Amino acid sequence: MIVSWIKSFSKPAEERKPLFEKLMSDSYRQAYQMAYRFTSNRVDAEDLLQETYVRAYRFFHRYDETMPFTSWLYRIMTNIHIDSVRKNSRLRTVSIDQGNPETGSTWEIADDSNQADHNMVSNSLDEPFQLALKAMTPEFRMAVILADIDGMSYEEIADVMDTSVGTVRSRIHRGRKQMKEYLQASFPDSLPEVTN
Amino acid sequence: MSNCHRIKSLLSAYIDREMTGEEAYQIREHISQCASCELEFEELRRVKHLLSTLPAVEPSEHLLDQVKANVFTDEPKPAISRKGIVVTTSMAAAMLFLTFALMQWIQVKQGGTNGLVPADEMVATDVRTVGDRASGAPVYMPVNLASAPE
Repeated sequence: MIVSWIKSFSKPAEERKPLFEKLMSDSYRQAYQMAYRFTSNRVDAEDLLQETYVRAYRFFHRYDETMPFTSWLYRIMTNIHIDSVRKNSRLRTVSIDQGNPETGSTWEIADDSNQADHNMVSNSLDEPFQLALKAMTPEFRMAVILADIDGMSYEEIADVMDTSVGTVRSRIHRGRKQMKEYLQASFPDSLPEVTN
Repeated sequence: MSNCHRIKSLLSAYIDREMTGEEAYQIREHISQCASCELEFEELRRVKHLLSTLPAVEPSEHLLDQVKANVFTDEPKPAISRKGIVVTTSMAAAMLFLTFALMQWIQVKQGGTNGLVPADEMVATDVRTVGDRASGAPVYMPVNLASAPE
């Protein structure tokens, strides 16, 4: 690993650029799927993808070429997404039901039902599942997406999420349970029988 | 019943075949005899099946070009961000201030007369406290002792 790191680091920029460009061309469709499932809309998915590749290129000298590029890329994407979710959740700590404690008035919430983003989800065939993913705890959602959509093993997911296999096992199980409960409550007909 | 709780917590790993053969055997045996665990197993299996068969979402036509343009024209970021510069400068200023304050304090400790007057100049009434005048060495006392009541 150290040898690979040194090799990679010692590569001049003009050699790193074509290699990165090729890896990016090979991986961007798959990475976009992940970004879309993480964020639940195209605009945020594109932003997440852009930021992921910009950061990946900046730290490309740290990439160990013996490891799959997508695993390394997903680790970056996961970190960016978790940071973004935490940042957004900090901005939404006041309950809208509580109203403004100073004035006693209730909050005026804009009707976003016409937003393109909402339409993009609600018009798509996979709306129930995308909404269920969106409702999940971010760490659970990411573990479930990596396992069920990308088909990664628990060990690979543990590497991407920088955690233990035991934690991944727990996150996937709790994530699927959250999704099942959401679908049963909101879309009771969305869980058809699976035929072997 | 407590066994059901343990079995249910392992169902996803069982579905993903992420467990030992012995664990898998125990779960298989259990769900063949327990309707509640079997139902939970089927539901979780459906969730996995639905997610793994979701249609692929196609990125927009020019996305790759846009990403490339962003990646390769992105200016190299400074080693320290703007926020980092502010924090570093503040810390340096604080360290400078502390160093200056410490030097002043050491100076006072080592012979400065700030807040103290030589015992000779005091209207001292307590000889034991004032010290040995015969040695000729200046003896310093806090100012407020000079006005101490008799």
